[in-house]
Order: sequence, then C-alpha cells, then structure tokens
Amino acid sequence: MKKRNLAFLVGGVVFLLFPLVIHSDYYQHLVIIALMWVVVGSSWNLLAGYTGLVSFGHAIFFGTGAYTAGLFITKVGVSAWWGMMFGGMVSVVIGLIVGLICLRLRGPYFALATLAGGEIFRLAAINWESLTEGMVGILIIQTFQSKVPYYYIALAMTILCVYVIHLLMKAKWGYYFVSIREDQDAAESLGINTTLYKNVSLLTSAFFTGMAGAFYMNYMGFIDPEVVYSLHHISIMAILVGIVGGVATILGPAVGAFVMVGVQEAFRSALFGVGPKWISQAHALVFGLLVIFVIMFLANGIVGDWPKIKRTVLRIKEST
Amino acid sequence: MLKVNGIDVFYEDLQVLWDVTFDVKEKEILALVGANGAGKSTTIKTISSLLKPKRGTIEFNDMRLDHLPPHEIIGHGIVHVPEGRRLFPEMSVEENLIMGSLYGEAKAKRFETLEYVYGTFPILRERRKQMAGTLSGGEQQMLAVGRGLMSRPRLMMFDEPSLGLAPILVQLIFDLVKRINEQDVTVLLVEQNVMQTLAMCDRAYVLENGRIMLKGTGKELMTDDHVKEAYLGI
Repeated sequence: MKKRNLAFLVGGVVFLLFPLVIHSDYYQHLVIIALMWVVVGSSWNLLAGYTGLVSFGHAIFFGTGAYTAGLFITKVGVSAWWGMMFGGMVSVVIGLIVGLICLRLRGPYFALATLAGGEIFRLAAINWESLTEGMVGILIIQTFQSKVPYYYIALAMTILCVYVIHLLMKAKWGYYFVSIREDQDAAESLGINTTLYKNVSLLTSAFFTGMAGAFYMNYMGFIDPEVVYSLHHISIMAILVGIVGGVATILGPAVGAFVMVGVQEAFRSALFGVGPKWISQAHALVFGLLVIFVIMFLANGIVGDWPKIKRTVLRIKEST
Repeated sequence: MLKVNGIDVFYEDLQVLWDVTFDVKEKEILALVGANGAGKSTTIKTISSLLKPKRGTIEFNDMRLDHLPPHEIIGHGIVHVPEGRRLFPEMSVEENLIMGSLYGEAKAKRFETLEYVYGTFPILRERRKQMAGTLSGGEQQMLAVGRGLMSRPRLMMFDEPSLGLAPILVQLIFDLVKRINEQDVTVLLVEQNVMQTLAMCDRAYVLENGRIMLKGTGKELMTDDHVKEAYLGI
C-alpha cells in the first residue's frame, strides 16, 4: 500500500512539472493528446469494461462535444470553452437517445447498433450544412499560443475523469455495473434496476467523452465530421486504448492511451524520422498487428496482465 | 401465499404455458415436476416477472405481481435461485453474497444474515475471497442458494438446483432445501429429478406440455400409475 502511494506521488509530480521541464512543443503536444485519450479511453472502459456494453460508437459523444464547443462560437458567439461543460451535457442528452434505442440490445447487437449510430452522426454532420458547415468544418482561433495552459486543462480534465470513475467503481455503483456485465438477468432478479444503471454508466461515459471532444475543438482549433465523428480515428481508437491498456482496470486506459498515442506517432513520423518512409503508410497495419498480439498474449491488456509481463521478463533475465 | 391463476405465457408467438393454475401455501415445499420443455422454468420466470403472462394473474399475499418490473419482485420477499446458478464469476464469494442483500431489511441486516449463511455453508466462509468462477459445481450451487438467502426471503424459488451435480451432491442440495424450509421459508422447487423431489416435497404439480396434468401430495403422486410409468420408469 505504501509503495503504491509513493508511485502515485511520483507520478503526480512528474505530470505537474512536465511542461516546465520539457519545453519542446512537440512532446508537450503528444502528452496533451495522450491525456485526452486517457479521458476517452477511461470513459469507454466504464461502459465496455465494467458494465459489459461494448461501444463501437464513442465518436458519437466525442463529435457531439466537439461540435457543441464549435457551435458556441459560430452560432451563439461566446467562447468555445463553454463547450467544456455544455459539450458533456449535450452528449448526455444524445446519450439518453442512443441509450433508449441501443440499450434494449445486448452483447454484439449493442456493439453493432452503436457502430451504426456513429455512422449516422457522421453522415448527419456532413450533410446538415446549415448547422455544422458540413465538410468545410469549423475553424476557430485558439485562445493560447503556448501549449502549457492546454496541458494543465487536459491534466485537470484527466484527473477529474479518472477520479470520478474510480469513486464510482469503489461505491455500490461499481458492483451494480460489474453484476450487469457478468449476468444481467441475475442482477435484475437480485433487485438491481439494470435499465437505470446501464443508463448511469452510459451517460457518465458520454459526459466525459463529450468533454474531451470539446477540449479537442478548443485545442486543435479545427474540426470536421471526418475527424471527430470518425469511426477509425475515434471509435476504434477508444476501443484500442481500452484493450491495449487493460479493460476493467482503472489505470489500463491511462497506460493504453500513452502506448497507443506513442505507437501512432512513431509510425506516422516513420520512427521519428530515422526509419524508412514507407513505414508511415503502414500504421493501420501495425495497429492491426498490435491488436492481434495483445489479444493472443495479453488478453487482459498491459495493466491487467502486468504480473504475467513481470514473470516473463524475470524468466528471460534468469535464462541469460 | 402465492396464487398463480390461469396464466398463458408466450415466447413471441409460441405459447408455452396453457392456463396454469396453482398455489403455494405458507411454509410448505411445493414442487413443480415434469420433463424437459414442459414449462417449469417458464413458470418460475413468469413469477419473477422476467416474462409477462398474456392472460391470468399472479398474486403474492393478495398483491398483484405480474405488472411489476423484475427488479422489484425481490423487495416483496420472493427470491429466484436461477437455473445454472448464474453467479457473478469475476466477483469474490463474499461480493456475490452481498449482491443478494441490496435493499431494505436485507441491507440493514446484511452482516447478521452473512453470518447465518456462513454458518449454514462453512465452505463459503473458507473461500470468501476466492472468485466465484473458481468454485466447484457443488460450491457454486451453495453460493447461489446463499446469495438467495441473503435477501431474507419468505418465498424461495429454486430452478433445477440439482442440474449438473453428482448424485451425492444432489442429495446434499435437497437436504439443504429441506433445512431452509425448516427455518420457515416457503419453497417452490422446480425439478426434473422426479423421484427424489416427490420424496421430499409436501405437495407437487406435474406439468406436461405447458399444462398442469396432476396434483397431489408427494406420496400420492409417487404411487400414481401415470407418474410411475412416465417418470419413474416402474
């Protein structure tokens, strides 16, 4: 227990001091993006990992949050930062509608329905030009020149999200969510209102994902439907972050986000400029191989299978 | 105590129960027996409100149950120990038990009841930190029964508690059901294991193709010619 507290303390200090020590915009940018993915991955994990409702459509909430923030400027004429709060709330409203339709379904059928839902939102955002500007997208002027304020906003958002999920999972809610994942009918017959708690999980997940989307709008300054409602850039990435890090663990998505953003960047930049050019075109392929590797050898993700990783490393050390 | 009045139950368009009527009296063991597919589990699921009857009513101490959502049934003192145990495999034994006592009186007296359950099943106390999925079949069945007891039920419904257990464990589970009944819990038992069930119950109904064919005390039915021929192979 003591060792764990120490690790958290060291981790906290590293994250607090990071932008003051590392001045490179490039590395600050990568960590900001990774922190944003911690939020999306953790939200996805609450719904999929703990409650057993595997969503293939988290872009619905991410995109809705991003567009809420963008529309605050283009339609309402106030700062896009209002989107950080209202983006989450609008995502909750959308989540209620999505839940009304998709939560009637279980297992793979839920996954397929959310997949279709994500595509519906993407196509709607492309074609509803009077509201969303369609494929032209929304361009805003960023508030800050420096990356440091964005870094601390992202860090605060991440800590809030992970801490809220941690508290939920420690309270009775956590047991309700897991019981729904393990056996929904048994949970129902033990007196758990499964419809209510599935909605609680979905809406909490939608709220934080929407908030992350709004942050993305503010930070990147540009969105269009193919970016924020993207199936493979958002919905699938959310799943990968969860699976690689470890589903149904608090720290899994956090680790997964840093690994996935790192891998994505390494291949996008052709191994940071030292590798051959063609590698940058292979990043989708590498993602696929990585998922196969994780599912075959680390089915519980990096965090979930940490003891197994430690054992393997020890064995390799002994044999050499 | 529990009155089932002429229920017709459908899965989509397929009718599986036809005008099923029976009642469970306070403090007795009532058995519903019959072959595979006779509608026994359907009956118990309908009482739990997991299925809704198209016609007929279900009353518990003069209160209608058939319009309640399934998660409210347990609050009225009825617990369903489902077929195939339906535990939460990645929760510990103790967490599974606590999940049985979420509301009202059961929650207030949770630790008292937990002691009682551990007293009844000492093996569960030994394994209380272990994941439920790692228990043996018999232990899992005990845990399912224990989880049911945690809600301090007045009526306990068992759906095929002997399913998939070795013959020696089957007898053990039946002894347990008797012991629970002696603590003033009314029991509704659904079983395919006709001989052993008739030997231990107070009264029984025989279900065939979704209809009640026979009723009587356990002893009467054991000597009934039709039961002998169809179920006991004598």
